[in-house]
Amino acid sequence: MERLLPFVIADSEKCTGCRVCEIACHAYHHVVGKTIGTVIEPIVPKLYVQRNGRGAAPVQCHQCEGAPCAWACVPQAIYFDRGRVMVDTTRCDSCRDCIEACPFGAIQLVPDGETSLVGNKCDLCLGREQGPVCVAQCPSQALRLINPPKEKRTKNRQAAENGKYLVRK
Amino acid sequence: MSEKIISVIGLDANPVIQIDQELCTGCLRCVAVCPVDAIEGAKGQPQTIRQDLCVACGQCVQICSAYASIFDEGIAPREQKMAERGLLSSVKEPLFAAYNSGDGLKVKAALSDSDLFTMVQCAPAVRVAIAEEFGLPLGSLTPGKMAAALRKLGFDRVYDTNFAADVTIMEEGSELIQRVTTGGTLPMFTSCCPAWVKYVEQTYPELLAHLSSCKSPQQMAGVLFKTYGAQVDKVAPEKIFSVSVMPCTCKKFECDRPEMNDSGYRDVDVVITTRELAQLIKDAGIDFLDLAEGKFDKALGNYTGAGTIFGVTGGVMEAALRTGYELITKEAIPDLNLNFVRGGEGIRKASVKVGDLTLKVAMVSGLKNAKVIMEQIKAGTADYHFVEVMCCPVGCVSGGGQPKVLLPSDKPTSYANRTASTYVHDANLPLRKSHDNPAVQKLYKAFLGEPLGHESHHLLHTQYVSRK
Repeated sequence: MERLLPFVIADSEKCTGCRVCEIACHAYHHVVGKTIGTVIEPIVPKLYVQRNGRGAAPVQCHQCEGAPCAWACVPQAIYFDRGRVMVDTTRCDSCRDCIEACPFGAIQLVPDGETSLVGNKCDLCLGREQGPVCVAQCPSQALRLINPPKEKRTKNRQAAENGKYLVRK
Repeated sequence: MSEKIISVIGLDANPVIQIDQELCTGCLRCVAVCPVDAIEGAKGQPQTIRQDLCVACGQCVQICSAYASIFDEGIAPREQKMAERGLLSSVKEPLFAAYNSGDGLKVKAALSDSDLFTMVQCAPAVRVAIAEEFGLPLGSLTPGKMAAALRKLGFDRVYDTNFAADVTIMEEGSELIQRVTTGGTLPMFTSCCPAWVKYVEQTYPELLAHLSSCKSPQQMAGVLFKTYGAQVDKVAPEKIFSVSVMPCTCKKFECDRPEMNDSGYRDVDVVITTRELAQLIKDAGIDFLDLAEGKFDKALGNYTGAGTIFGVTGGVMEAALRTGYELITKEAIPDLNLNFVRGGEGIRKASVKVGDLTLKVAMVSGLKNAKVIMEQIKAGTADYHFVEVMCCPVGCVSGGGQPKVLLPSDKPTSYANRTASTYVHDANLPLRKSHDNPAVQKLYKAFLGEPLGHESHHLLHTQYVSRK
């Protein structure tokens, strides 16, 4: 039970599709100032807001224990680091097998300089003390960092206290 | 003053603010900040702007986070959108659903037209924010670099809106004293915020007499450029191209108001925002951060601290009191820093003892707060002599044309820092009261005569129209 990795999940009832999470993600991972005028590269986020006419929610990496992307990666550019699945862009050769392998579409190939494309995926803002920036900036508080063991324990407790499952008619 | 027939031209023909239907996600963040509820549409669907209600304040532009991604499918190419928005082709920043019309190309063309004598003015709020677009911290104070950049762009005269703000105080202070002592219409409201003016015209036209008849500093500067300014430089006024750099998108609407031509020409030919000026500077290859401090041209560019605080809520009031106090009591105001008028959003009230008179004043930011006072006037319960109204959250430093912060959590910091820098700039200027400005004194002596005199009435005062 120890190694269930945390990941960010969205509440599609709260998400408005505003894309602040995408902008915040880009700002954290790129060298920019405080304003839009300082952004000179196209915004390339690591999470992708989806809208289907009924609601919206961003999709991002689930940090899968069995990381299909890591298994599929031909040059072995995908690895685990401190509880998250990471891409070593220097090893990536744009073969796109990771895109095929990921069931969530959470990994993308994005421009890296003028000529190459490299793998791009959520890294839970490695290095940010307060945690993922998308969670912090969402104006609707629609994003949450899930810690699976803690999540399970909380739900166990609630279920026991509510006693819902013990009612028989 | 003589009645002019003023035509009513709204935003329908030439909208300043628009929402790109391809990019809008219907998140409704703009709807929440629109001061006049002019944005319509279902949740999750593209929104549209009621141009008859819109006051072009640009708060929607500031908050909009629905950007055109390189991964979006089925949207027009970036080049097409940039052309539609009037953006220079060198602009690299992301495009958003809510946007304002662009006029940078017109300024670029004018600067390369050797037949034109170009004069530029910048609003007080520009100098505490423009550096943000070059990577400096929020609220960095850079008036010297701003003037140097304008000089390097090739403007013939680097004048300043703050000078005209000092002139506005002379006129508006005198107008207030006149109304108070001769039973004129009270409360008097400031008229420098064009979004506020349009709001009164379309929502409370029956209360238009309460607005000061003074033009905004932008428009006062514009008309003076092509009259007094033409004399100073011995240039034919038809050769003068008058540019204004503003933190405000509504100023684009204001400069096109049909009646704003008392010089005999368009008093302000074009308005660009703080962001557009930064884009022009980058387009010209100027290294803003490396610029040595520049200077403003004195005749219409010398300014006092009172002029520069116009950019924040409470600033116009404080500037007016610094001068009004001395005009009435013939004594210097004991403390120049009127902290009781400074503050943030909402309605702030104060009573100021000026000689025998107790002046009751209010400072309002946000049109929904201004509505409260308008309703009080209609109910006969408004107890003020003078009210300052600014549409934007903390005044012009938070205007629709200012640099747009990337992260929502940085917005309050941007407001606080830009405000603080404004007061720092004021505190460090050699002159802090509008009537002490030697360039303003010279203007009256050589050209205008006296405040509210014949020339002032003709050039610096205006009339309003009902838009109901």
